[in-house]
Amino acid sequence: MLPDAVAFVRSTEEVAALVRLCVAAEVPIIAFGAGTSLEGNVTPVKGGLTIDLSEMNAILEVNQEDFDCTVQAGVRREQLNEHLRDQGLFFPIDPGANATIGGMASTRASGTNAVRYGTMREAILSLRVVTPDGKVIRTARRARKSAAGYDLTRLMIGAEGTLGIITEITLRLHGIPEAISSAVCSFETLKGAVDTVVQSIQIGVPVARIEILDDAQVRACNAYSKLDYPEKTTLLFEFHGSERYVEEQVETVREIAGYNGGGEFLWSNLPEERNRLWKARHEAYYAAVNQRPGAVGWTTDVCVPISRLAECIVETKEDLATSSVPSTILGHVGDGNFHVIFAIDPKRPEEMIEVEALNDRIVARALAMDGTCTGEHGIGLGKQQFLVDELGDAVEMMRLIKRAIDPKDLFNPGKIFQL
Amino acid sequence: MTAPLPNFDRKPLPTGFLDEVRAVVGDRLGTGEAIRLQHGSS
Repeated sequence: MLPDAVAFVRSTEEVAALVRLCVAAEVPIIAFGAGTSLEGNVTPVKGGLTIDLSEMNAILEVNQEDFDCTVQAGVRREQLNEHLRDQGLFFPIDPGANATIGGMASTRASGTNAVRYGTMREAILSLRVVTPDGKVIRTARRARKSAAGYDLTRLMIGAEGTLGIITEITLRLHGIPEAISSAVCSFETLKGAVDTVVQSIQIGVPVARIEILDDAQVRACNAYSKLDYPEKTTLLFEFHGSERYVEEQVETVREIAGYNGGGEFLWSNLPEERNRLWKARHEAYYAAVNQRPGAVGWTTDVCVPISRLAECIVETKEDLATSSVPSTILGHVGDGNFHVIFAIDPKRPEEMIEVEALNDRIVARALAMDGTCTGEHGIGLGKQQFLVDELGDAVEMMRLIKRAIDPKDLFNPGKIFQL
Repeated sequence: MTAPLPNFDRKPLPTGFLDEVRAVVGDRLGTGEAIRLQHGSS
């Protein structure tokens, strides 16, 4: 499923002109950022014109005193953080991939920092959007809060380009913390690890990142990233704040971990140690897939209320143990969001069938716990039936909105739901 | 459950459409197979 053509745009005005052409000619129009999404979110199922926004990569303004900035949609998150570093600011949303800010907005992305700093839903103050009638709108001003009418910003975030094309984003920023420490702790049981997370959050420790890796994922990371962590369920932490406050956080979580069967609590405030740890975390997907030569990766994305997380992961792990397809579990455990990464042999189509059945059960388990089929990847093509299972008649209201805004179904058609 | 996707209708571009797009973005319009493949999935 390829587009008929790809236009590399450089301004909102060019996007608006192309939108008007496409609507007049009834040609499908698909916005494209870095192409790092995971659910077929930008696959042009009806062909048409793909609008590549990667050349709209200017950081338009940084308001240091207001802790915000405005960027074009093609700016990548690493580029933004390099630009902000000298001003003592940072943009915390980190999905792992060096995605574009526009793509992250369109899929309502999040990542390892969400437990402390939220997701793209919280990070965005305002959007500039080219609507299907070719107009350019701004969904809000830079004010930190507003009660001005319908919240069009939140309507566009996660809409996957089905309601318009986001060309500029105004983002909340944060001050770079005075001190940052990272820590690693392995656990005898998965429940002990998850209980450590729940109890740390319950008593108000503002942990900046808490990631969980199951024993299989630790084994894969050790091999891929040349580490030597115990091959047990492991938590990775990061703490932000003043020197003294970070030390307090580390000490509190160390005690909680010990109480829950945690082993040695290895922590460091050295940047090189921290970078080594998070580099390994960001390579976890490749580590998981690399365990099996020639394999391709396939990942799930459920999220449950944190009180149900241990139960959900334990049941999932029992289910995975019955499968012949190698898999690992890792997740943003502070949010209740976890991923299973399958390493599938592409020459064995029966493995894909098996993995889809496993994923069906993972999603059904999460929904039964009042969770969601997607914590951060979006619906795209792959999760449309799950969306109906999750939200029922609410999907019909989404269809009404889509029909009202894009009556010819030209904006990224076939995504999220079928009209 | 993971449901099969429908067959999507695909229509050819209208005559002259690409010329109109080229008038907006000039040579920043790609129609070659490599560039289309690069933008064909995610």
